[in-house]
Amino acid sequence: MTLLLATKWLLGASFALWALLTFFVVVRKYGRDRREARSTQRRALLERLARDGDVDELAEVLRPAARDLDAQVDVDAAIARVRPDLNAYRLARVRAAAHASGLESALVDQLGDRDPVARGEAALVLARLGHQLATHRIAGLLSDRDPDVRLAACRALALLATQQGAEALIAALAERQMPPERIVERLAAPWALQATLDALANATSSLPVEAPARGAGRAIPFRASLARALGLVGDPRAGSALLQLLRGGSEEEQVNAARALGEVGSDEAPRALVDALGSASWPVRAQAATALGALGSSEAVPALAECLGDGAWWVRANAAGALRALGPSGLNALRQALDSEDRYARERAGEALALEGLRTGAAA
Amino acid sequence: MTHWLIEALVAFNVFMLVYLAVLDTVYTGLVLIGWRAVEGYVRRRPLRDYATVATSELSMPVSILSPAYNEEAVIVPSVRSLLESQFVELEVVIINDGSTDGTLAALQREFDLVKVERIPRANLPTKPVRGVYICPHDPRVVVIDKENGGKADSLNAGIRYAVYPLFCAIDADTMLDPGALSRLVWEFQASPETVAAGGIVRVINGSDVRDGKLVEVKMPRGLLVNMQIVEYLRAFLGGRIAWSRLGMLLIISGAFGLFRRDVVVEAGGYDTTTVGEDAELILRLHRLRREQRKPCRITFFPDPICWTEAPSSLRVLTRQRDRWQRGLIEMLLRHRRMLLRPRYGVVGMLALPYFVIFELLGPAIEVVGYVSIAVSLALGVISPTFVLVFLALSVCYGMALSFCVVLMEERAFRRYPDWRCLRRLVLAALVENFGYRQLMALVRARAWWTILRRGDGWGEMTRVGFGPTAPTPEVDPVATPSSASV
Repeated sequence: MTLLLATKWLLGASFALWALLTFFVVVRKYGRDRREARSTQRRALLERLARDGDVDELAEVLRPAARDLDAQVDVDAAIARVRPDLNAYRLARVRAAAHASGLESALVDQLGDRDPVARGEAALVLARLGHQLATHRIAGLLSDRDPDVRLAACRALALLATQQGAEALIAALAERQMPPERIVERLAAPWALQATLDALANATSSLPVEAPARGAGRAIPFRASLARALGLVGDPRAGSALLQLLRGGSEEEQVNAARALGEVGSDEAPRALVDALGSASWPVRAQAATALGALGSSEAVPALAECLGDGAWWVRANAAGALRALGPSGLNALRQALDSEDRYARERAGEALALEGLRTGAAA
Repeated sequence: MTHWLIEALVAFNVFMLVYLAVLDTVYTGLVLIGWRAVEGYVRRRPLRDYATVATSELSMPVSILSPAYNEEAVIVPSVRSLLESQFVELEVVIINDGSTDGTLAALQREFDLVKVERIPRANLPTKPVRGVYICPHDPRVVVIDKENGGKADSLNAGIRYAVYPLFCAIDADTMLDPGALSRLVWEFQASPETVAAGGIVRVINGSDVRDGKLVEVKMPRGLLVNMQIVEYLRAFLGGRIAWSRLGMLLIISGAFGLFRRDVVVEAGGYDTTTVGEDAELILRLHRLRREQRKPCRITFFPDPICWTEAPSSLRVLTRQRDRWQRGLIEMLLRHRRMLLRPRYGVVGMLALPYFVIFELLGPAIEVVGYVSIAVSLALGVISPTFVLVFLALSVCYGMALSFCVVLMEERAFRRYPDWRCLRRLVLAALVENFGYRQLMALVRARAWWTILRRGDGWGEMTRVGFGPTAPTPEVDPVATPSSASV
C-alpha cells in the first residue's frame, strides 16, 4: 500500500515538474514572440517615419529607446536600413526627432554607462543618427576596457566619417587597442585618406607604441597597416608614400606597400615592384608579383616568368596568377614554362593555364 | 557469501549515490556557466559586425575540407552550398576517398574538372593520391581523388593540398549556415593565440532544404530524432560552452571546426588509427602546445551553425554512439600521461579527470548501477520506495537539465521558431528520460567490450613527426607558412 502511494506520489511529482517546466518554456516563448513582433513593428514604423514622417511622430516612436536597450537596437537597425535613402534634409529631421525625444541626450549619457553593451550601443546609435558632436566622446571609447565596446566605437567613428574620427582611429591603431584589421577596414575610405597620408608621413617608428590591449589581435607594424588602408582606398595620391615605404620599410611594411601599390598604381610603381621581385624576403616577392599582375604591367613578364621557379610556393603561385592576368604575353610565358626542367614552375604554369581553359593537363 | 554480497551491494550503492551527486553538481555548474556565457554572447551580438568580416579583404582566407566517400547523391548540392558561404576568400577542397559510386563523376559533370599536377605543400602521410582536379570556371573548387583511407586520412590529404592559413573540416553531408565562417574567423583575428574553434552542430532532419539551402527549420515527427535534438542542445549549450569558457574544451565536432593549418601540420595532422580523430586532434594540440610552452586557445561558439542529418534508425544511432565512445576511450588512453600532470594546466588537472571518471567510466558505472539496484531489490537490501525516490529524482533532474537548455535555446537562438517545434522539443525532453538515456548508456558501455574484443585502442600514441612515413609524393621544397597577407 505504501509502495503504491509512493509510486503515485513520485510519478505525480515528476509530471508536475514537467508541467511546471513546460509552463516556464511556454511563457518564455510567448514573451519572446511578443517582443519580437513588437520589435519588427517598431522597425517598420521607424523606417517609414524616417523616410517621410513628421518629426513629432518620429520623436514619439523614438522616445522608448531613451530608456530601453532593445529599442535602441531597433533604432540602430532601422536607421541603418534607410540611411542610404535619406538626404541631408531627412537626416536632419531624424536627428531633430531624436533630440526632441530625449534620445540623443540619453545616448550621450549612456556612453559613460557601467554596462559595456549600453556604452557600445549608444556609440552606434549616435553614429547612425550622424551626431558628429559626440565624436570626441565616442573616440574615448576606443580605449575602453571592454574589447567589444572598442570595436563598436571603431565602427561608430567610421559611420560618422570625420577628420577627428580618422585621427582617433589612427591613434588607436598605433596604440594597438584592437585587431588592426578591424581599424584598417574602417580607415579604408576617402574621408580618412588625408589623415592616413599625414600619419604615414609623420610616423617615425614602424612599431606600435603601446603594449597590446586584450583582444588586440596580432602585431602588425603601424605603417604597414596604414599602407594597407591606403591600398584599399585606391587613391593615386598615396602612390609616392607607398613607393617610399616599399623601398625603405621593414619586411611587413614592404609587403603591405607592394600590395597597396597594386591597387593604387603610379608611374614608378611597376619598376619598383619589379625590383621588389628580387627582394630577399619571399612575402615581399610574392606580393610584388600580385601587384604587377593587378597593374597590368606587361614589361614585368620576364621577371615574373623567372619567379615561376622561385623557392617559395606563394611567389610561384602569385607570379603564375599575375602572368595569367597580363594577357597574351603572360600566357605565352606560362606556356613556355610548361617545358621548363623545373617541375615546380611547370606545376604552377599548368594550373594557371588550366584555369584559363587553355591547358591540356590530363583531361578529367 | 550472501553477507559478503550484501556488504558489497551496500558499498556500491553508496558509491553510486556519491558519484551521481558529484556528477549532477558538475552538470549544474556547467549549465550555469553555459547560461551566463550564452546571455553575454547574445547581448553583445549587436556590437559585433560579422558582416564586415565576411566581406573584408583583410579577413583570413579559409580552405574548407570536405571528405566524401560514396556521396554521389549529395555531393553536388553540398559543394554548391559551401560555395554560397558568405565569406570573401575561400576554397572548397573535396577529397574523394576512393568512392566506389559516382561521386567523382558527379563532380566532374557539374564542375567540368580538369586534372592538374599539384605538388602538396605539407608532409603528412596519406594513402596515394590519384589526381588533383580544379574547376576552370571557379578557381575555388579543388577535388582530390585518392585511394580509400578513411576520414582522417582524407582530411590529411586535404591539408596537404590546401593553400590558406585556416582550414575548416566538415562532413560532406553537412551544411554550413552562410555566416558561420565569418564568426569563427573573427575569433582567430581577435585572439591570435586561437588554434582551433568550433561551432554548434544542429540536426537538419525534417527541415525544408532546397537546392542545397536551408529554407525553413522544422523538427521531424520521429521521437528518436527529436530526442537526439535535445541531446545535441544539452551537449553544446549545456556543456561545450562552459568547457570553452573554462579553457578546457576537449572536443570540437568533426562535422564543423576551424583550425590553424600550420599548427595542425606541426602536430602531425589527424591520427588515422583512431575512430575519434576529431577529439584526438584537439587533445594532441593541447598537449603539444603546452609542451612547447606556446599559447593555445581552443574555443567554441554557439552561434556559427553547421547542420547535419541525425540517424533516424536505432541501428544506425547505436552504431554511431558506439563509434563516438570508442573514439573517446582511445583518445583518453593514448593521452593518459597528461592525466593529473600540472604541466598540462587545467586540461590535465580538471578536464581529463572529469572525462575519465564521468565520460569514460560513467556509462559502465551506470549500467552496473542498474544491475546493482535490481539485485539489491531482490535481496531486500534496499526498499522499493528508496528505488522509486532515487529513480524519480534522477528523472526529474535529467528533465530539469534538458528544459534549461531548451530555455537557453529559446532565449538566445530561437532556431526552432514555431509552437509545433517547441511542443516536440518539450515532449522529447520528457520522454528521453524513460529508456532512451538508459539505452545510450548501455551502448556506450558496450564500446568497452568492442575495444577489448578487437584489441585496439590501447597503444601509445604513434607520433608521425614532421617527415613522411607513408607513400607521400614530393613536397614543396620550401615549407612556406601560409599568410593572410600573401
